[in-house]
Amino acid sequence: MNFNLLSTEIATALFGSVLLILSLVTGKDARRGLGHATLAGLLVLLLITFTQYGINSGGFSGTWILDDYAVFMKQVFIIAAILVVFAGKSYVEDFTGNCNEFYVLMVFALLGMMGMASAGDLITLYVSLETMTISFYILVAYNLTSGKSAEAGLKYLILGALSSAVILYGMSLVYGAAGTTLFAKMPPVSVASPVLLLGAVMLVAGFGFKIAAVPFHMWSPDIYEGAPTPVTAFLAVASKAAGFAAMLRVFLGGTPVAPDNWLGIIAVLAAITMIIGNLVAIPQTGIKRMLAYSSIAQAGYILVGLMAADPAGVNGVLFYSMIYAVANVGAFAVVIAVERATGSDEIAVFGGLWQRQPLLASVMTVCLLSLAGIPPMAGFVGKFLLFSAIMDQGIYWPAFIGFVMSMISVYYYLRVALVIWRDEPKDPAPIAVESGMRLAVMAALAVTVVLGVYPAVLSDLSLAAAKSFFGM
Amino acid sequence: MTDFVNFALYHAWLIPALPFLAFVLIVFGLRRHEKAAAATAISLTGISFLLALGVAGAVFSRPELVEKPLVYSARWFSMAGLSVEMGCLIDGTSAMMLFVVTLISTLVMIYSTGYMHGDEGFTRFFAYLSLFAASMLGLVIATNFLQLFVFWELVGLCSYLLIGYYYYKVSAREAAKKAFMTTRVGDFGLLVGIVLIQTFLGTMDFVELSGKLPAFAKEAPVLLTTIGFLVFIGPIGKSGQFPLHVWLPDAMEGPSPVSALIHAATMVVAGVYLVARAFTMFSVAPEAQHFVAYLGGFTAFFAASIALTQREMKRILAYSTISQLGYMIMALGVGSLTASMFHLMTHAYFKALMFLAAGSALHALHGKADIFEMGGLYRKMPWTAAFMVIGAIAIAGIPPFAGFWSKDEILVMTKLHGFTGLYYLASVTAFMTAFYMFRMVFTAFFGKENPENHPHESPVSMLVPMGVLAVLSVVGGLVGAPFVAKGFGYWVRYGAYHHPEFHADVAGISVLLALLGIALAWTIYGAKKVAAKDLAAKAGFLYTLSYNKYYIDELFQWINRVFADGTGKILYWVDLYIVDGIVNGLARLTAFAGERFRYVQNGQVQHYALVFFASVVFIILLSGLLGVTTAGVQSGGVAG
Amino acid sequence: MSNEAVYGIMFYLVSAVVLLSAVAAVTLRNLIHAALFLAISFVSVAGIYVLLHADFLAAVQVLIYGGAIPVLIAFGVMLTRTPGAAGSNPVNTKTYIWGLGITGALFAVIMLSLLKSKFAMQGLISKEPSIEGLARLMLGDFLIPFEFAAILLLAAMIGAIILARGGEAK
Repeated sequence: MNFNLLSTEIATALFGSVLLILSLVTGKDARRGLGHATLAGLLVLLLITFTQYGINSGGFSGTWILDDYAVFMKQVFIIAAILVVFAGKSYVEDFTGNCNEFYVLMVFALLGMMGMASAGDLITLYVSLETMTISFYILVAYNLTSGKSAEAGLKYLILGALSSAVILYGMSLVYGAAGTTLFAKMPPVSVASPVLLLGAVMLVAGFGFKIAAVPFHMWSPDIYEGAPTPVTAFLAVASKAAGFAAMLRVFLGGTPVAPDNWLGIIAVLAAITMIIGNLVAIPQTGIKRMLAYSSIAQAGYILVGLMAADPAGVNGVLFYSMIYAVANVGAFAVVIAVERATGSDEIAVFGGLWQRQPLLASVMTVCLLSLAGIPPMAGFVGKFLLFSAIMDQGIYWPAFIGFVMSMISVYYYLRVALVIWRDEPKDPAPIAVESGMRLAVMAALAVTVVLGVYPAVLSDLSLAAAKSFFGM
Repeated sequence: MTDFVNFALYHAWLIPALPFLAFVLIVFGLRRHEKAAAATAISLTGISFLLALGVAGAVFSRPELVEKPLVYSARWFSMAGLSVEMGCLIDGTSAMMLFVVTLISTLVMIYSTGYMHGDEGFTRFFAYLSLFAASMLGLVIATNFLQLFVFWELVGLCSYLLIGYYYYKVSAREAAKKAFMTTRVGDFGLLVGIVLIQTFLGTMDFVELSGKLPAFAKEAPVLLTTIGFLVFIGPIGKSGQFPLHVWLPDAMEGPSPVSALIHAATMVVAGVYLVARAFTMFSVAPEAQHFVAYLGGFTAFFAASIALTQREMKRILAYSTISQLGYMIMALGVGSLTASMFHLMTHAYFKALMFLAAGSALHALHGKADIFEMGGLYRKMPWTAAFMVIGAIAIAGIPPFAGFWSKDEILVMTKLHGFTGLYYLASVTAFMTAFYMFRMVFTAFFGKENPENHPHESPVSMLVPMGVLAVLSVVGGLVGAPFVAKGFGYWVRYGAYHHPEFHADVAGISVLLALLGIALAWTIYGAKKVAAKDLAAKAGFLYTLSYNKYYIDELFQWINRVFADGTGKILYWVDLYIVDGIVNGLARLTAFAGERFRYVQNGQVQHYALVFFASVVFIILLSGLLGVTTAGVQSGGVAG
Repeated sequence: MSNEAVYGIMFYLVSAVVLLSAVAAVTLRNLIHAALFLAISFVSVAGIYVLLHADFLAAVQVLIYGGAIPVLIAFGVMLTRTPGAAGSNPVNTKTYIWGLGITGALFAVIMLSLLKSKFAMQGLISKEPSIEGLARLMLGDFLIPFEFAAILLLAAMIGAIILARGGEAK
């Protein structure tokens, strides 16, 4: 057994356990230290992942795959976690007395995501998925004194359990038809049966729930609104990326049903997700709800890359996941800061933000422009990669819908920017930004701009990762 | 000297990089140091100007560059099957643009030190200006469509910041929003066009494209025409062609130096420049090219007809810009890159001059914009008035001023290439141009003084840049005059060199029409022999139509309200009440059910679950419809 | 009667008990009764395991789902003192109709595709005790999911404690 394949996960599990023990032995006064410890640990994890590039092998009877693709995805999760902890530390510390286990649960959720990226069979995938989801149930309900958070947690629990059940049922059907749980040994196209198809559709539905694709998106605005904002950021970014990581493994790594068979389903999902997500985002007045619908729309764009089902498409998915993660966490970080200062998440409270805190205003604007896909922000390159991947296959309409919807999305993203730069602040008092938050937003800003101007740094890596996914 | 020229040629990327450096320095270090910020911006842009001169010198010393552009680039990013580069492309056209853009930017910055003196956001203004200049320069040296598009968007973004500079003014905010939104429509078409080019031709590189396009035009003429139309939507938005011209007149809400920069050297000419860069494509797609010609001609006429009745000084200038851009676009459409670029250059001189002069007047009058409330300004502001008159003569096309030579070239080319209808239209437009320009000059600068005004001449820092531009407006056109051997047309051209010939009939008619226009303006507004009011009353309907800009703005507002906002609201409503809460959705309206009650206990979760399963069933049925179950699916599980 | 026939009759009998008691658990208004039927349903599933010769699974199912979990649910119901589900779970006829319709459609679709597919029998049922094979799988081929499950349970436990401890005023 080659434990090197597991070194990131072993380190993460150990790190989580150490954090758990630390959170038990330290008193309430040591909260701040715990946040710092989490950050240090996550950074170490990030460093460890860099040693894993180029291994590209599987093990443990095929249940575990460590290719560059998996490593890249793990880095997306870890980077998202780091940014969230930086930005959300003070927010978390303001929680009720027991904020200590917050970080522990975050690390366990992270571990689950890593498993999803590396899973080589259905069982590993399911157990990792549940590890992530169960941690999230608790994180969503974490603000125990807030009714909103509690009900969001309950709702997420019920609906999440439902989607897990559907995934599990789909998996059993696939197993029943295919006779194996290993992606690599899934039967070839010619022997696909209706049951296999049924199972595949249920998997699409279950993962569709995780990535909040229309029509399985309905939970997300409510939960995003109710959950503590750092959790929302983590949920919207890392959990979604993990959903995509797993979806790619299932549908492109194993292909239980032929690509030309289920591509139609993915295409329809992608189209309605882009359309509904973007259009419904327009009339929102709460920033968290607006970002919720926006992240639904973003899932639609990424689905277009999945549709391409080739290295170029996977490259697009990987690249976009990373920059989406950074830009979205950046935007949520600003929401956290403003929410802490004003106690509200209405878009209106962003009025005149640039006078109150120019840094936050710039970061918000740049992140939103990146999400909207306006050059020279990184989002433009990402969308370019995604859409040209599908167009290279001679399929134009998803890219066309993507273009039109991106244009429409500018409308609601820009509305926030307008409020920030144009309106007079109701309360001109400057908003304080503590050092962690400053670091997080500046990192988000720098990455979004630098990758927009010089994307080769990341796109080379993601291209190599995409090729490794197909064993190239 | 040759060392410098070579250095400039091979380091042309410095030209956009230096203003960008100024932007970074100002934002991160000099925010509170007004003088240092202005000095940094001016000196770095000035160095760019010197480098641009060097590049121009290099082109003069190496005439082969006109035919075979010098290209050097670095890999930007790559994906499977596609590698995109960023770099510099130097030929006669880009060298000319570099020269014009850096020159105007530097002059505008110098002017701004006086104009913006005492403004709260002084340093912010210079940061934006530097970024604006940098993005435009990056666009000029682009080697491929994607690089061009990135800077194209950056230019749009900067214009958004600058037009909305007076953010406390509602009109400025709205204007900025309008500019951004309208140009986005154009950008969308452009982007789709670019992606189609990449898909079908396999490259976005200008040089490679020019090699591949002729063959492609024979293979797929319809497709190429479609791509041509799509790409042209970009310039329609950016260069204010009908019907996306609506943002440009409102863009004067920004400070006057910004208007000068937008209207003369950056932003709007980006569209013209794009068509010039894509000239290889348009020259093999005749339908698209003819469309370009006719739209340009129509816009020139249409905007001039609006300018006839406007009352605000900068608004008149804005419509004249649209009209002149129409000329440039038309010239490209009739197939003369030279004429278009030539007019672009001379127009940059005199339009920048006029906007700066207008700024000087408005500055003195504390923002009073209506020309009929001015009058007799020449007494207190002789320099400004003189500059404005020079600009007006230049745009009217009186020889030997700059505008005459370039407009003459366009008219000659239009006529020679067989676009007789357009030639007449353009000549009429020339008449209208002379009329509305001198209507403004006579009303605002001559005649009786308005006793409420206390104008004063502007400081030297504002007059000097205007002086430079005034000189260029007078003599700047001579470089392309027919009697100059190897003039402008030799260096900036597409295809073989044609020496411009002097057509006495074309020149004579256009000068005559211009003089007639001036005379008519004098009769009505100078000598007041005919009352303007009676004239307006007689024209009645036409006057109203022109004064209200043909109601295009209202139409767009209506479209925006009905479609963009409306659709979103309807879908949100559907999401909320039909899909989301099929049954109890209306209970949400009675908000007082209490937070918890509302979420968990009115059954929303159940509804979500219901929708979830309904969707599963739907997708399974859909996959049946899509033929998923039939294609390649057999009964039986695992083989063997 | 052949062995096959007995097996078939037993399977359908046990399945009927599983399903009917599950329906009862969902529809009954008295929570204690509902919990009881849930337990019956769980225990009957153990019967199916027995029919499949999965002796170890059957034993675990009885121990956990027949013993521990119903007791936990009963405690939960008693401690929260809401014996009737009427108050917290109002019946909505319209929802019922929609629910029935969609469930019916889903059932039809699933049945259709199940009937249209043939399954390859792998002949895995053995007369040997299954515990050794299970152990081999869990600690061999499926070591990673097994370990992940440990973390999963840990996370769930922490979560339960946090939620049970509740919020404190700041």
